[in-house]
Amino acid sequence: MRLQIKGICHSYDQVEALRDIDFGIEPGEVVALIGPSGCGKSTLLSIIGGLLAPTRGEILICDKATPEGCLNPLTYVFQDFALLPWRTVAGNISLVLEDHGLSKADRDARVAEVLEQTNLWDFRDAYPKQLSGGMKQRVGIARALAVRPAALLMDEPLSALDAQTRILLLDEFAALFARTGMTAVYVTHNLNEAVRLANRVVALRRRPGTIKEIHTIDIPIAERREGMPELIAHESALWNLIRDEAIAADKELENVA
Amino acid sequence: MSHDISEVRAERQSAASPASQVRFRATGFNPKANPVAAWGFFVAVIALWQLGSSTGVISELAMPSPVAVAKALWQLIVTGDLWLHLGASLQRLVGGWIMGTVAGLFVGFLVGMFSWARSPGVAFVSALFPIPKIALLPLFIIWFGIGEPSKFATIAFGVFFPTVINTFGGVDNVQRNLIRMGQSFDLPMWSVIRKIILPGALPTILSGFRISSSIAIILLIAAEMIGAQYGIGALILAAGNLYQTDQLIAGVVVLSLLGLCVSWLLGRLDRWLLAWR
Repeated sequence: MRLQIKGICHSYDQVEALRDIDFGIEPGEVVALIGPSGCGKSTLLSIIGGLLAPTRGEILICDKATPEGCLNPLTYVFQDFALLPWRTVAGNISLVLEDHGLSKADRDARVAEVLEQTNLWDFRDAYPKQLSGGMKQRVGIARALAVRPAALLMDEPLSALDAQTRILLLDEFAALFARTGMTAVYVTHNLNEAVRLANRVVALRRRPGTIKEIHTIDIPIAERREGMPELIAHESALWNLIRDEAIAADKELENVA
Repeated sequence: MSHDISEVRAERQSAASPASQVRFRATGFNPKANPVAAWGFFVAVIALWQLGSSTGVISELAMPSPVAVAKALWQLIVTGDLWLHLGASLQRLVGGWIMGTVAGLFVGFLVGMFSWARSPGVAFVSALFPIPKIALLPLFIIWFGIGEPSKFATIAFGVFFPTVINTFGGVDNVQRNLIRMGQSFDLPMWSVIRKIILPGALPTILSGFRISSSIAIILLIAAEMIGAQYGIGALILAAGNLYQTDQLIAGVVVLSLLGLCVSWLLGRLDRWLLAWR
């Protein structure tokens, strides 16, 4: 799926959150959105996902090719998992398949398939409260994969997790992107995640968020490893890019507090 | 001149006072249920009451003994009067509660979900909720007559408001991110309501049922005291008029048991519907 973000501006009442955001996302590309706190990363993702109407501008789907059996082309993965506590793991996944005219057998087959893919089969009957944060996010990923999306929209999916789980899931995300070649927009404040997963990194300035630079990382995702000197160099370049913005944003937050 | 670390430790140890255990300070503020104490207290109160009646400390005319109350209750059972009164009361209670609850759930969901219903709904509920509903019984009698409909209407009206408040409060408390999740997966509106909002609001709605059922019992008795031939309220009022305090207290005991039964049923409903908690 090819997406075009065209002249997106957004304001919350009197506060201007985003100004003139323009860039494209190519099929199979992973684009990370980074920037200081409050720069509008998650706002932009909500706009791309159709969960927030922009004040101005539009999101265009230029290439409507979707995977076979796709039920929801633009699919969200939430920072706080957004799992229904009254449904089991399998029930949470099944939820997003229930209103698409699939037979029960087809739904069960899809649920089983993504449970296997995400190593959740043994936990299919568990309720979210019985799972760790990492397992909950795996359920979030499984739920997203069940609809066979054309693009994943991931809103800081690792930020609510502990450091060890974050490393493990980061590897799993990298493997998923390398294996499926899925298009994704990945919001993060963690530069290490951005350089591990993204083909291009869109760095935003502090509020109102505008594009400071689009940074390309030319290493195939499958070949990237934790601690690779090239990745460290990219991470360092990105930090240099947003450091002043982050310091200024932090001061603004202090003044507000 | 530098000291060896072991020397420093030894010096410190000899200078320190004798070792004492850290005092545990996190006591209290954690009450636990004790069924034996609950039943024991109940039995003790009845025993004291019987003792007071037997020794003449408590006047039999003002307050009959537990044994006398038990005899009166037994008499009501064997004559069949209890079933006559209880049946009439249950009919009114269940009918009025269901009418008020269905209407309250409907309006509560509208107020909780739609902007067009929010402001008028909240203003309407805020204005009418504080009115003691029994004050409207004469009006309902004018509208619906002295028979059953006015009693149903009083109970339904009393149940309606707490149900509306708890329902829209419950809908408000459903985590927005769950609704956004449903929308992000393109779930139809009816599915979002049925699969996300309704179960999410259920804990608050069920706790509202406890309040509304208590209100229903209060209004039932008040309505039966004002104009009914049969019903526990009518039984209590008639017993009071004839100074049959044993029968009066027997009626109160039946009410207490009725309240316990309703509470038990709601507890079961809670456990069944909210098993995931």
